Amino acid sequence: MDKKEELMKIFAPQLRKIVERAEVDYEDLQEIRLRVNMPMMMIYKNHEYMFREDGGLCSDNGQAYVITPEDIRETMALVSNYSLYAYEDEIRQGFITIKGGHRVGIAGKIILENEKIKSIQYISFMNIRLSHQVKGCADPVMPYILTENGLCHTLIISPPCCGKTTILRDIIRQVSGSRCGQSVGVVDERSEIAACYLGIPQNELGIRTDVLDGCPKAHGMLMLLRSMSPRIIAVDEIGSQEDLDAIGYVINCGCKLLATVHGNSVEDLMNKPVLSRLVKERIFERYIVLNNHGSIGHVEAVYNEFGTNLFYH
Amino acid sequence: MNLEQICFTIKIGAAVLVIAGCTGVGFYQSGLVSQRIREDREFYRIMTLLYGEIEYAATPLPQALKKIAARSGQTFKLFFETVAGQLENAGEKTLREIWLAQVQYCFADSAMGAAEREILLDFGKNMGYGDKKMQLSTIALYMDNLETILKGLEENAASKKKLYRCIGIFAGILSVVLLV
Repeated sequence: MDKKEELMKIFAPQLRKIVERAEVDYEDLQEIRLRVNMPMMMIYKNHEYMFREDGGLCSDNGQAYVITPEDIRETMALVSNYSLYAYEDEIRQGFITIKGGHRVGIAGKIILENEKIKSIQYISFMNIRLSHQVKGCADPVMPYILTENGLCHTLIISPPCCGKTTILRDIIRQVSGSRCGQSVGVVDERSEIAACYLGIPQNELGIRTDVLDGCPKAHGMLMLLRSMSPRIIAVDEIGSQEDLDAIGYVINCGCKLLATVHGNSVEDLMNKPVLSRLVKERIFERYIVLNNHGSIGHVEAVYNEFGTNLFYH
Repeated sequence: MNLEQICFTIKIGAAVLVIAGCTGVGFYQSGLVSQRIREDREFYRIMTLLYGEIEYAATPLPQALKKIAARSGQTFKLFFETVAGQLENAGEKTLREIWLAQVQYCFADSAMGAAEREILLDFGKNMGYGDKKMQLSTIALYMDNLETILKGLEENAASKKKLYRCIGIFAGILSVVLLV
């Protein structure tokens, strides 16, 4: 099923007609935004457009189709397959992953119970973010993180929206899927790496990959070690002391670690109390630093544990 | 055989046919009582399965209906498979519209009474909305209602069946007497 078919299934009939008529390349479509009583919008090729009722695109509020509460209600019913009860955990986190790995972010009135988020009521805002797996985006870094002993403990450092999860996914795919591949265990706490739908990864992660979907990282790493015998464990966005303790355990068990962290550089990590320990104790053997200079996912440098830049463009 | 004897034989034959026909209708109605109870028990069992699917696995509705279809009798199997298939294909119709259309199609020849049919229709109107607790409460309420109907049917089943059979036989005899 292609992206267009996957998306058409979740829109209310009126919105479906509009999106179907729009002449867009779904590979370049990033987001579609629905807000009650506001124009229907999309981010396409990094630009914002509004939909007209005839499916055309415009920049003028006056011509744009305005989303009704009924549109949101019907879309929500279709996104959840008429099974809102089945997505309570996801709704609590503010998003639902649909078939194809696309993520539907939701917002509305938060219901609290004992100061914890119980649910979201009166959902009035939806953000449909399309998933775009970029196969081969890790090709430039693979020679630097693979040695004759296998994968090095690797940490991907990147500011937000610079492609660290995309590159992590591609490294997992290549390491797991190659002829001499190794088994990889993925702790996908926010369903961003594998984007599982009904337990099935919607992104390609290789033939030797096991996924713990929606599981807290620290618990997940230990569970994978005990049950799935991975050679490599991959996690996204480490940062807490709990994560660090689990990482120490993983490494002591002989597993290789592949992780990402928010940051601009290795020096930036040194300013963070928990993460600085990672650098000082030389837990990771390779640091991949990304930025969005020129394009998203641009590899700035690949450092070894001694701080030497190994990467040349 | 002379003409009188032939007429007499034909009259006897016709009388037998009339009595057999009316008795058949009586037995058929009696059979419908049993079928109604069977279908209601099946409906109750299916709601129990759906309750379990939602309570323990929070299975989305199309998948839950497919699983239940695999463990259902012919009529419910067709109904659930069709509804699940149409939900997954996400056409122009809502769950409510799909459910109603399929109830009318699949249960057209069903022995279910008006009360059970009403429960089945209401079920489709209220599924899929609200959280797990609300869904389970809704299903539990329908199960309670169905249980009450089933109890009433089972208590009166034996006497009703006897009544229909007797009415069939006596209606046949009475018809013969009136015709003769």
